[in-house]
Amino acid sequence: MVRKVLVANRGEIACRVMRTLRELGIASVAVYHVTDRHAPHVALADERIELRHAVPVSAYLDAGQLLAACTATGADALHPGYGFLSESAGFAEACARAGVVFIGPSPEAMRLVGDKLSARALAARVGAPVSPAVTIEDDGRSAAALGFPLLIKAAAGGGGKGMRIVRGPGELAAQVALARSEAERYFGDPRVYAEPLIERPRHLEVQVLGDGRGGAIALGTRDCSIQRRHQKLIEEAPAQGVPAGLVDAALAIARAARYGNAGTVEFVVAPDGRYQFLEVNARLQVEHPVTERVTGWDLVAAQLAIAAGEPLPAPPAIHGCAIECRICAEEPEHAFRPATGRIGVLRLPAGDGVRVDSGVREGQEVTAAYDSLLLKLVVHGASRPEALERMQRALAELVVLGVATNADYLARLIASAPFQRGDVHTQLIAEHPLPAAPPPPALGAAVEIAAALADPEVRRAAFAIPEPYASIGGFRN
Amino acid sequence: MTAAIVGRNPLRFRVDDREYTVAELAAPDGEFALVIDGVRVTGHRHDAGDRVFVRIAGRTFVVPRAGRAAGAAGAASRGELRAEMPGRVVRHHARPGQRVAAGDPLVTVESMKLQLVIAADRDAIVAALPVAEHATFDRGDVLASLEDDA
Repeated sequence: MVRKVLVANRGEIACRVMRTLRELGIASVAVYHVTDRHAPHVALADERIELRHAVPVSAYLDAGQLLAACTATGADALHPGYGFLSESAGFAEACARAGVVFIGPSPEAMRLVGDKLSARALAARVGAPVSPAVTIEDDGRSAAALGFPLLIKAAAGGGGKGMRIVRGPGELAAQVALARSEAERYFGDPRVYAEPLIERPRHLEVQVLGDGRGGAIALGTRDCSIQRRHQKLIEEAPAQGVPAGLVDAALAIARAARYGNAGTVEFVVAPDGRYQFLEVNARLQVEHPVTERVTGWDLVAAQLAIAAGEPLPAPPAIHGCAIECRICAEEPEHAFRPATGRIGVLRLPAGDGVRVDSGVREGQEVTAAYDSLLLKLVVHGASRPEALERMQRALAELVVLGVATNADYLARLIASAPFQRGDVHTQLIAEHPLPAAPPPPALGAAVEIAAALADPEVRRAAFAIPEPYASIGGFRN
Repeated sequence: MTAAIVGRNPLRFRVDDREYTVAELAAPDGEFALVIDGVRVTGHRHDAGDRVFVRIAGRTFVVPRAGRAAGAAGAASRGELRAEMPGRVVRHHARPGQRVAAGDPLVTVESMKLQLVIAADRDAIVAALPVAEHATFDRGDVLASLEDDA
């Protein structure tokens, strides 16, 4: 068993990993860029090491500094979280060379599933349905044979990055060029391929744990169809209406890859119920808490046990329904563009069946330097309707002021008829903008009056108390 | 729509041609409690300088504050191309002093995990590309400024 783990991440996932480490009696080491020096994950760790880089996000991608921090602190293992270096086979190898246990799959398995083309070949070999695809080596002309609309993806990609929808031959060459450029920039690998676009699909996935020797178990399914910009916003477990054979296909892929540790096998499900293998995410995912809620398992603890060579347990039973909302600093009414600002007021919901995985605190500056995810609201209920009610309650309790968030939008989305029915697909958000209704006059006036009374000048005029007494307080009637 | 004081003792505000009698009650930091026309209204509030965030009844409102507006975002003004959202500059396609035609690419930026090319909106000379390659920018920052070809 490991004794000290360096958590090579930030935000909510670093905090979440450290909490399990604390419960297991394992020491934790935080790494941080100076812009994060007051961030919660730094305070939560037993030790902390600053990473230096001119570009904040690059600090967390600096393998050399991360391994030096392991040496300096005596950390014998490293948890990568998600994003950053979590799916870098080269980094996992560097950890192994440095004698640091990388808590994740082997570099070989990571390479095999990380490259979309080799992952597709593997899936096809074990009999999982895959889409017809064309590797694009020209300006895109070769892909036109697939027909339109089609989807261009990066071979080294994943998580929706570098994806382009092409509706007709006229835009093919330009979109191929952009996709290549994005692929090169994000993944250092310009290879792209095309596949037919499935309209209004659901995005279903299977959480697996592998032992790295050909054994794997499934921890149930998740529906992650609610997306914007190919990024998930709401996830739930278990998925409704899972096609027969889908979970077995996921297990066959994980076993054939000799996959070790926690991973996710993703599928696209067409409206007619046919499904296709999409990709394997070789990491702990953002949405793992919904699986934890319905299984009662701690996936980080499971990752540590697998890394220590322990055998896989029997697969868990699934209880009730869990839903996660990703609360992001963004403006839904402006195409979900990222928002910035200082979090002036933060009130987190609590109570039975509510879990909050937060990586922010009051007073924190939210900048464009990092991902826009602030916190995750996760609820659990005995049934889907109960979980939906609980999420509405939790979203109403949540207060994040000082930076625009998607929280109110998510409340409207959860209340909407399609979502309540479970009639979801990945284009639901694009097709149902759900703008906020204008406030009724009394509410609108209350908002304006409350806002006006935040202004010291208005307060002086309103209460006519000379400074400095006005700011001392206690004179309010 | 803004609230203006139209009376004191009792305190009265006018909003949209309607008047409201307002009393303020004590409230913890980050919260407010008002009685408006006899109805108790409570919520959360944060003064962010150029705007005030108010949360009432499970809805959050952002009220811009006149006269304190931060740098405007969006449309071009005086030959400045500003960012409509935060992001990062991937690459410059032109140099200051260079003559460009309408539609010529100036800067490739990356926002929301997508790359976008910012192009010249008219024939002009590039005056400046203030955000360096690989540097991040905020909404409203100037990405490129153009001056007319004299």
